Amino acid sequence: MRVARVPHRVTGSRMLQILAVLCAVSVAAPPAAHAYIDPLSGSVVLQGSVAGVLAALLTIRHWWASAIRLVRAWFARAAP
Amino acid sequence: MSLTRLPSSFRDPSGFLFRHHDTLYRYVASSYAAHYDAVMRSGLYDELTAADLLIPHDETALTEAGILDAHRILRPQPVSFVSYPYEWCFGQLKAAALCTLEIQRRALARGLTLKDASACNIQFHRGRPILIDTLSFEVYQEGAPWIAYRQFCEHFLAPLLLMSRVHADAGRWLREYLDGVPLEVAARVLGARAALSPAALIHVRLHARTIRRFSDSAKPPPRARPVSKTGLAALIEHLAASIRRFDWRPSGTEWTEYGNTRGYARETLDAKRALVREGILSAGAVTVWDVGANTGEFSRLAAQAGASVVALDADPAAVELNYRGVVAGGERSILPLVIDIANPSPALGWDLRERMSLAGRGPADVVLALALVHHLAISQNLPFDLMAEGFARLGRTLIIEYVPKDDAQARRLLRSRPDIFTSYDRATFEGAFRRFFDVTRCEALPSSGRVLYTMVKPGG
Repeated sequence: MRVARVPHRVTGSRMLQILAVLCAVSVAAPPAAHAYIDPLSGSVVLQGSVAGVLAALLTIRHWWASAIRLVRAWFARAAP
Repeated sequence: MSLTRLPSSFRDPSGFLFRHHDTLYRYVASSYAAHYDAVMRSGLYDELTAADLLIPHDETALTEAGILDAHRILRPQPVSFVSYPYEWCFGQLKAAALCTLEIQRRALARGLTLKDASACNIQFHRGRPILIDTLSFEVYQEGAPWIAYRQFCEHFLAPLLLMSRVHADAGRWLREYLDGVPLEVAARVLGARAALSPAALIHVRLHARTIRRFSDSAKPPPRARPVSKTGLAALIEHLAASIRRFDWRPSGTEWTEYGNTRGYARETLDAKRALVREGILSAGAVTVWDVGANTGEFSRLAAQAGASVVALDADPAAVELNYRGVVAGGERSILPLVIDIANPSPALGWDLRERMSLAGRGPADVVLALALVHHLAISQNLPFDLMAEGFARLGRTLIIEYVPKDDAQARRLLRSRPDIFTSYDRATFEGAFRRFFDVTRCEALPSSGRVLYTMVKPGG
């Protein structure tokens, strides 16, 4: 079946509409194709960076708690 | 042989659950042999089962199930009711999160690690969270990260932050996000609130950003620093310490100030208690679903009558208070859940068979629907015939309280809406329910216009 082609001019307002749609699509599109994103690497990298820092903080907290205990014990002994 | 693999059990190549002659078994694949044997030989299995952190199992003879290529066939102790994370209140999700971290802490100490931290691997068994997936462990390799870290954050940490800092209803998001709330979404919703919590900053916002940065699978994978065992233990400890500090006070919501007993004279309440108790005992109920349970007064009555009770309520605050009561009292037979009976949990996941609907987990021996009819009929515009049909799907025996339209509580519901409920009367109620049930008892509650019915499904 032949379909009659309807000639039409691309007016300024239509151009603006197309531009608006293109802008909306480019903003809405995710940065990577959702089905092919790597879900694990970032989590592994973060652990590599954060775990050591948390371990150091935990150690400092334990030392600090021990130091406080020692000082308290010393004052308790020194008190008459 | 006739074995039925559970449709929810397909993700883990280490094994799967199946039913054989109505008994639940877990198949352990030969490929998982080294890890399973390490769990058993290291003493971890004994330690976790003794601490009620892991479901105990028996190793069965392979011939019993007739499977020859399995490393082992286990017969785990069954849990009385399978619930899902989107049905848990804040306190339940928090307890399940801490249970998971405690298991991971103990596993690391014995040279193993959790390869899976799905909230669905935790069930509430005798009032406490417990790991039901014995195949969640693998042998720990020095320097390896926690492979389930992201899953833990999405299944537990992010929803808990959202529930405690945004709204308790955020737990329901887990019904949409079966694989956990994406960290990107949680970070956006938490917004500036994330800055107030180191856990939210590190494990949600920074975590989401790092995942996004390395998400392009077309690029070569990044070289990550090895994670020492001390670092891993510190990560687990930081997560646990942060979650222990999360809090949510169930106040100011619809039901918390209400109580089950408001609007009742003493004699009305006494008669109602006696009738409900007699109904449960005469049905010989093993399982009771208390629909619209509020903080669980009648659930406790059912539990005292010897039943295993699931206490459903739409209000997370009421369920939270009920759960705190369960914990405080060491109650083993009551499972409070956030379920709105007007929109109960549907079947979900692949082929709609991964997660069971509420009705799919029934029928209960007895369903209690106390002081509920007027809410469904007036607030939900639910006609009595549809109400009866719905309850007939849930249980064999129904103990239901008819609340007349001129009751003080029903009038409250009508205060700001036109009374379009011309069919709301006792004759219509009875007629609708008699289509699905045989009424075995019908008692007017003294000093009120309310009536307590006990109904049994024909052949039930």
